[in-house]
Amino acid sequence: MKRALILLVACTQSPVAPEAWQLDQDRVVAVRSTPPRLAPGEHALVDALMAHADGPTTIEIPSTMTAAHSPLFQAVNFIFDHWEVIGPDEDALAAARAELGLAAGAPVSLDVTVIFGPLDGAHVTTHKQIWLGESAANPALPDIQIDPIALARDLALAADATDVRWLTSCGTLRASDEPNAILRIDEPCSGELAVVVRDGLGGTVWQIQPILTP
Amino acid sequence: MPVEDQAHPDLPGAPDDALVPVVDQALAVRTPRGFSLEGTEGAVYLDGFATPMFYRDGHSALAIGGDPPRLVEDAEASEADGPRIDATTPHGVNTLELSTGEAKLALDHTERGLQVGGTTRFSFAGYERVYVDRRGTIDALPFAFDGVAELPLYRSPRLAVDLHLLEFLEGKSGWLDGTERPDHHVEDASGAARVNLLVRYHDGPWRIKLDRSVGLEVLDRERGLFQHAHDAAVRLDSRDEVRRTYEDAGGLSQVEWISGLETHISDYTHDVAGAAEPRENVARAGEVPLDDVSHVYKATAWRSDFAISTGMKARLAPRISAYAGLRIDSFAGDAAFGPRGQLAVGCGRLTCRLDAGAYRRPAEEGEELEHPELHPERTARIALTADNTHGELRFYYADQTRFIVRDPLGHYANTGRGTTYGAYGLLRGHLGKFVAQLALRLEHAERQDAPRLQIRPYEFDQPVRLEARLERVLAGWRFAARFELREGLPYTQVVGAAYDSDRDVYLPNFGPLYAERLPWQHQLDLRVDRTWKLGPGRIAAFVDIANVYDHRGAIGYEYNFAFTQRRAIEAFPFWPTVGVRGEL
Repeated sequence: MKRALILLVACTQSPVAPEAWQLDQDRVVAVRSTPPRLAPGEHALVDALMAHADGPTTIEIPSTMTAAHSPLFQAVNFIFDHWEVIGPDEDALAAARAELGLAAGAPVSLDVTVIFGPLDGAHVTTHKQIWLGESAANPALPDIQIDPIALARDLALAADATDVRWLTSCGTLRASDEPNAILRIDEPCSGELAVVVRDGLGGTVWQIQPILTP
Repeated sequence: MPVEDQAHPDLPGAPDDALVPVVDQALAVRTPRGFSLEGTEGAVYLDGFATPMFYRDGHSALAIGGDPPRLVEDAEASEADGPRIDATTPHGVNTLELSTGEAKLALDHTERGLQVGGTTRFSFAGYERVYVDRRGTIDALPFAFDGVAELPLYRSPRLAVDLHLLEFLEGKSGWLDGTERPDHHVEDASGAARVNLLVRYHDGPWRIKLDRSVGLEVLDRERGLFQHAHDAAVRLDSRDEVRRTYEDAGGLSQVEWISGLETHISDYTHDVAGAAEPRENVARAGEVPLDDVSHVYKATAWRSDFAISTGMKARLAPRISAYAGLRIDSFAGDAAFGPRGQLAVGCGRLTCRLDAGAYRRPAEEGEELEHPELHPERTARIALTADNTHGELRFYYADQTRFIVRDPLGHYANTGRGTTYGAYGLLRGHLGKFVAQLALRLEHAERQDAPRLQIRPYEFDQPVRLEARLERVLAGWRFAARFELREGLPYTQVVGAAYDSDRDVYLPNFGPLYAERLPWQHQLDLRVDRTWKLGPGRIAAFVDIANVYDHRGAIGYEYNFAFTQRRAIEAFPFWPTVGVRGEL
C-alpha cells in the first residue's frame, strides 16, 4: 500500500518515430493462422504481412515455428518445405486440458513462436496464439470505406469492426488503431494503405490498397 | 547532520519541496517508491508513524504541505524504537518532526500553501499543470488537499495529551497520448488519514510516552479499459516507551534505560488487474500496454508486527559514551532479532561514532501481500562517523540478505542479497562573507538475485554524488547557489523485441540487468530571497532558477512502438520560479 503513485502523464511530445502506423519501415504488421482455431486433424498454415522500408508490403512464410512451452508442442510440424499446425486428437487435447486446469471441451491455447527470416541472418521473432479443440475460420473482411485520395485534406477511413489497425506509407495517420481513422497526405506520393482487422478470437484479416495521389 | 536549519530556511532549486531537506541531507536518489539513502530504500516516519509517500510535481513528496518538516536525528530513540525498515540513516530511520509555525501563506506557480493557528496547517492545490521530465504536461484537473492538525487536549506540568490528525487526498487524470480516447484514459486518486493520540508523562527520572494511532490509506487507479488497482489499508498502531535516567549506576554516569512495546496491525485490501508490478530485479522499458492484464488478484490480507525493545545508554568515561539495545519483532510467525549499538568517543575537536545494527523489512508492499510465505528482508549495517560543527566524514557498509525478488516465471522468493558500502564527506564553513558547504558521497551498491546468479549493480547505484552550496545574507536579501554533480544511474539496454500479433504489441528483449549507465548529471541552481517586515508579520518574495545553464542530461529513455529507436528523457530544463510568502 505504500507504493507511491505513478504520475499520470499526458504526453504532448510526439511519440518516438517511426510510429506504429508507418508502413515504410521494416516490421511485422500481422501474423495470420489459417484457420486460427483447429478441430482435431485440421491443418493450419501461418504467414505474415511484412512491411519494408524500401518497398511495398510482402506476405512471407515462417522459417521456424515452435511451441516449446506447451504440452501440445507436437502440434507444430515441419512438412517437406513448410510449417503447419495440426490439430491434436481428442486424447491429447484431454490430457492437455487436465494439465492446464481447463474445463472439458474448452479450447486449448497454443502459444507459437514464429520466426521469419533465416536464423543465421536478419530475422524477426513473433508470437501467435492458435486455438486447438474447436474449428473457426478467419473473419471476413468487414465493410471498409475510404474517402477518395486527395492532397491536403483529412481523409476519413472507416472499418466496420472493433479491433482495427490502419497503416500507410503516404502521409500521416491519426487514431490509427481505431475503426475510424484520419489520413492526411500533404505531398504527392505513391504507396500503400493497409488495414488489419482482428476478431479477438485469434482470427486476422488484412487488406492492402495502393495509394497514388493525384 | 541536517543541512536544513534556521540559517537555511529555503534551498535553491526546489522551492517548497518538502523532500528537499531529506534528499539534501543524504544526497539521496529519488526512487519510484520514495527515495533511496545509501543504496537502500527507507520509509519516512512522522511523529513516530509511517507516513505515506506520493508523487507530486514529478518527484516524491511527503503527505504534508506547508513548510518543509524538520529532519530530526535522535540516535537513542531511533536505535531503541528501531522501526521495521532497512537501515537508511546511520541510525536506521528517517524521522520527521512537525514544527509548530505561525500563520503562513505561500504562493508560487508550483504550489500553494496555507498554515493557520500555529498548530494546524493545510495546503491546497487547485488546477495545475505539472511539468514532467520534458515529456509534456498533465493537462487535466488534478486535485490535492493536505492537512495536519495538532490539537492539545490536556496539559499539566507532568502530563500532556495531544491529538494529531493527518490527511492527504490527491488525484490526477488524463490521457496517455492526448487522444482523449477512453482506452487511453488514466486516472489516479489516493488518500490517507491518520488519527494519533499521544500521551506524554514525566516524573523526575521517569518519562513515559504512549502513542495510539488509527490510519486509513486508499489508492484507486484506472488505466484504460482493463487495468485497475483498488487498494486500501487500515492500520492500527501503538508505540509505548518508558525511559528512566540515573545520574550514576554501576560505576557509570548519565545512564538512561529505554524500553518499548509496539504493535502494528494492518488489514490490506488488494484488488488489481494489470501487468505485474515493477520490481527492482526485473528489467522494464516503455509504457506498459494498457491491455496487459496478465496479473489479476483480489484478496484481503492481515499483517501484524509485535515488537519489544530495550536499550541502555551510558557515559563510560568523560569522553566516551555507548548505547546498546535489542529489538525483537514477531512478523506473523517470523521472529526477528535486531541488536543495535553505538560507541561515541570524543577525539580532540571531533566526535567519532561507531554505529551497528540489524534491521528487518516485512513483505508488505504491493504484490508481496499476495505471498504470505515471504519472509522479512534483512539488513545489517555498520558505520564509522567522525564529525564536528565544520563537517562530517562517514564510512559505512551494509549487508542485505533475503531480498524479495521475482524470478522470470513470476515466482516470489527471498533469494536476493546485496552489499552497499561507501564514504560520505561533508564540509561547511565560511568563505569570506559567504557560507559554503560541500558534500561528496562515493558509494557502491550491488545485488545478486539468487545464489550462483551474476552479481549486478543495484538499480539506484550511483558511485559519485557531489553537491556544493554557497549562500550570503545581506540586509534582508539572501543569495544562494547550489551545484550538483551525479554519476548516471544504471539501466538495462533493450537489445531487441518480439511481436505479439494477437495483441499487436512489441515486447522488449533485454540485455544484462543494469549493465549500462546513463550520462553524468549536473546542474546549477540560483535563488534570491527578499524579506520585508510588515507590522507583526513579514512578507517574503523569491526568485528561484533551477538548472541555470540548461543542461538536460538523459535520465532514462523512451522507445518507439517496436523498440527499434529510442529518445532520451531529459532532466529538468532551465526552470524559473517566482513566489511570495506572508507570515503573521
